[in-house]
Parts: sequence; C-alpha cells; structure tokens
Amino acid sequence: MSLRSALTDTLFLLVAASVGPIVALWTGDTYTLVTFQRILIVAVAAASLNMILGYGGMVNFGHAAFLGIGAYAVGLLANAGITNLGAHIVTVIIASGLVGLVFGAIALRTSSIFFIMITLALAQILYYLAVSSSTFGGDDGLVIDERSTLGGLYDPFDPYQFYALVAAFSVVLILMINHLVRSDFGRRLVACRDNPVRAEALGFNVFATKLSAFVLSCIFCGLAGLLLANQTEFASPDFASWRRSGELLVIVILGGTGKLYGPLIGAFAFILIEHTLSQYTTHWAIIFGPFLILAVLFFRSGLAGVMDQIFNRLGWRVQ
Amino acid sequence: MIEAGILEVRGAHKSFGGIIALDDVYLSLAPGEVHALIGPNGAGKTTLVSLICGEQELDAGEVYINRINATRLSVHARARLGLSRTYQLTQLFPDLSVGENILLSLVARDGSRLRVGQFVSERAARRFADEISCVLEEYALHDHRDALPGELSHGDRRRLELAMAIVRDPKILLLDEPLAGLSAADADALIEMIAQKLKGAIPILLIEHDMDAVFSLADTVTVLVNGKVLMTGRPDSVKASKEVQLAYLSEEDDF
Repeated sequence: MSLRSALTDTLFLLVAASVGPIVALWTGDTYTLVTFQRILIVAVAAASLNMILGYGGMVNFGHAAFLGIGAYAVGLLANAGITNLGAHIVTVIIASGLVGLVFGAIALRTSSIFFIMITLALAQILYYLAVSSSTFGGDDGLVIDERSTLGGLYDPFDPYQFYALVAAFSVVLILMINHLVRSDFGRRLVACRDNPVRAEALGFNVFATKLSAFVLSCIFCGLAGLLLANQTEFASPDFASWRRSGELLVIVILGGTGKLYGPLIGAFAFILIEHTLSQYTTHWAIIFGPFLILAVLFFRSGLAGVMDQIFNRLGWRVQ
Repeated sequence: MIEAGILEVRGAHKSFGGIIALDDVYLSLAPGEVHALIGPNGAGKTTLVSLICGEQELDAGEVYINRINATRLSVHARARLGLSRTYQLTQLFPDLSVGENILLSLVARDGSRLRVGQFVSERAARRFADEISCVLEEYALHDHRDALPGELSHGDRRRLELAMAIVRDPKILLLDEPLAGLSAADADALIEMIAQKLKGAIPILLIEHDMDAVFSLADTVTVLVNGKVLMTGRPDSVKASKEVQLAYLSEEDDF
C-alpha cells in the first residue's frame, strides 16, 4: 500500500512537472518554462505549509520568511563565490532549521490567534532585518550573480536543463513531505492536533511533536527559497513579506487544507489565474478575491476535494 | 511508610486565590486494589485528579507514580510512568476512525517517545492491524472500526476510551466518573466489565458518584470533604461512619 501510494504520488508529480516543457515545446516559447518553474517552487512552499497547517493545525502566518532565508542564503553564498548546489542545500537546511527551531519554540507556547500573530511578528522581524541591512542589499534586494552549480554536470542557464533541475528537486521535496504526512510521525502529529489532551494522556509529547513538524516544514520552505533564488537570480525582502505568507495560505486553502495534492493543485490554479488575469488588468486581485471567497464558501476541502469527488464518481480511488 | 503504594499523594496542598481546594491530602493506592474517591460536589476530587495527572501544579506536597517522584513532571511524562486515565467528558481523537484511535494507543504502548524511525516508517498501521481487530472484538466495537467517534453512541464512546486507556498496558488506571451519563444497562455492563476484567489486574483509582458502583467495586474508599480527607477505610466501615453520613451521604437521596 505504501509502495502504491508512493508510485501514485510520483506519477502525479511527474505529470504535473511535465506540463511546463510540453507547453514550451508546443508554443516554442521557452519563457513559459519560467511560469511553470514558479508553480513547482510555490507548490513546495505551500506543501510545507500544508504539512503543519493541514495536519498539525498550526496557522503559520510567517511562513514566507523561510523563502527569504533560503533565497538570501543562496545569494550570499553565490556572491561570495560558493556556487556548489550541495553547499547551498546544507547551508539552507541549517539556517532555516535553526531559525525555525527558535520561531517554533516561541510561537508554540501559544495557540490559535496568538500563534498566528506571533509567527507574523517573528517573520516581520526578518523582513525588516533584510530591508535595513546593507549586507543584504536593503530595499533593493540582492542580485545573485551565479546560479547553483553541480560541478559542471549541467548548464544552469540552459532553460530546459534548469527546468529539469528545479522540477526534479521539487518533485523529490514534495514526495518527502507526502511521505512524512503518511508516516508514523504524521499520525502522531494529526493526533496532537486532533486532541492534545488525549495525546498527552497517552504519553505523547505534544510540544515536541509539533515543534519537530514546524522545524521540518521551515526547512522544506527554505529549500523552496533556494530554488526561488536560483530562478529569479535575485533575493528580495519581498520574498519574506507577510503578503507572500498570505499568498501561501491562500494557495493551501484554495487547493484544499489537509489534502496531499492540495498545495500543488492550488499553486497551479493560483499562478495560472494570476498569470492570465494580470494580462488584462493590474488589479487582478479584484477578480480573484471574490473567486477565493466563493471557493472557501462552497468547496471547503478546496480544489483537491472537488477532484476527489470527481475521481470517486469515476470509480477511482486517490490517496 | 512500611509499604509504599503504586500511586502516592503526600501532603497535597492547592489553593486558588483565597480558596483552599485541597489541604494536606494523603492518598495511597496499593497494588491490585480498587480505590474509590468520593465526596460531595466541590470537595476537590477534580482538583486532586488534575494534580495527580500533572494538568495543574501542587502548591505543596508530592506525587509518586510507580514509586518515582512525579511532582514536577509533565502530563506525558507521568503517562510514561504508567499512569493511564479516562475523563469525565470522554477525550478521543474525533477526526480519526475508531480503529485509528486504538492504533494510537497501541503505538503509545510500544513507546510514546519520538524517534527518528517514525519519520521514515509508515508500518504501524499494518503492524497493529490484527491486534486492533482483537481489541475491537473484546470491547464490542468491531462493527465501528471505520466509524468516527462522533458517530458512536455514548456508551460505545466510553468503552472506546476505556479500551484506549487499557491497551497501553498501564500500571495505574484512573477512572474519572466512568458511569456519568450512561444508561442503566450500559452502566451495569461497564461495572461488570471492570469487576471481571480489571479488578485485581490493575490498580484503579475510581472517582464516582454512583454509590452502588463504588461499594460493589471498591476495596478501599477515601472520602474527601472541603478539600480534606475525612476518612479512608474499607467500604463497610465508611458506610457505617457517622461522620461520613453527616458530611456527605445524608444529602444524597440515592444512598
């Protein structure tokens, strides 16, 4: 069963990842690859948020701060001449893990609305740190001279090769997140969300369980930031802004909170809608806002929930 | 102290603002006995239970669980010492199926600490599948394996919670008003189950309002009145005590 779910996941993710190159080859416009890269990167960030929001009940309103940490870590290293992808990955894991540990240890002393406010406040500290520090390029952000390299194995500036790297990286990260959710740890996390009183009475350490999930989620989001920095060749304070965090929450909710494929579907929907609407008007959010409200009102389990129902009617079983 | 109990409360003191909830309370649960804790409303039974479990901290005094000083330990640390309980209002995992509720309790039995392996493995569900079936069979819940706790009757929920408390293989079982809200038939069945299956096998601290149940199950009875232990003794001597009758039993019509 676990093998089956892993295969289903992989198949689904590979299909999602191949949409970009197919469209690019079809239209002959390699620039469309950039849009689909963004979808995959945002899907990783949203999936990492869904892991703690959907399964741990933690509404992290400062999740984008870790996109920022990942992006700045890559930027600072690359501009210092260290471009090896492996070094970037290790640095990002350590940096976002440590910051996540501190943020989580503080925020998890509270719950509900207080948790939301504290995560927001902590993320804003990092945002203003980035804006005010000249090392980090201040308001203008950090232009990154060099993309992460793999020791000459691939050409980071070839659009298809770069897309392949981003896609492979994203697919692996989402597979890991899905595995964590399904794991024995994931079941404990759900238990701690569902009834912390009973979980404690069974001997589960609710705080430690939630904190572990929080830190892991921050690391995954940091790695999404690594990809984002590579894609944009830029690290901007905007990556860590509360608007980004809000966007991630919107994507998770639109896709379906607590649904394994929700974040990916949400990321596709959100960015394609944004992309399409913004060709007509810069005020695309005026159209998107009501759409989101309707989606929340009528499709509680999001687009993934709608797809579940369609598949069920067709007699397929997903997840 | 000649023989220390499996659960010991020594000199417990707790006050809320100016109100003294518990004053110098001693309680000792001997291995294998059913020890009932009774007392009128507001006597401090609920406070004592939450102090034993670690939900609240003592102002003074000590709690020993399985002969280890647990006074400063958290709720989950005390659970790991072998303390298991049911609640006055059942505490289950409402979004998980009945089978998964049992599964989590079995998982807790085999080690409630976090370990690296849990992040990798997803075997627990399969490993415990047969055992879950046995437990559900034993507690007459096998028809509801995939149901959510909210879909069960009140009696079934109580049995599920009791099953979860017992399958972790505890050293001490604390039952907080297990009969509250049950129909007469369900209550009789539960008393029967406790008498048959648990009495003698696990030491039980029983907090209960139903006097018939208390006097039929208990080996020892502690009467708590206004935060003080009025008397501890065998059921018949407690029943015969003038003091207890005055303080408590006289106001209960069902006695």
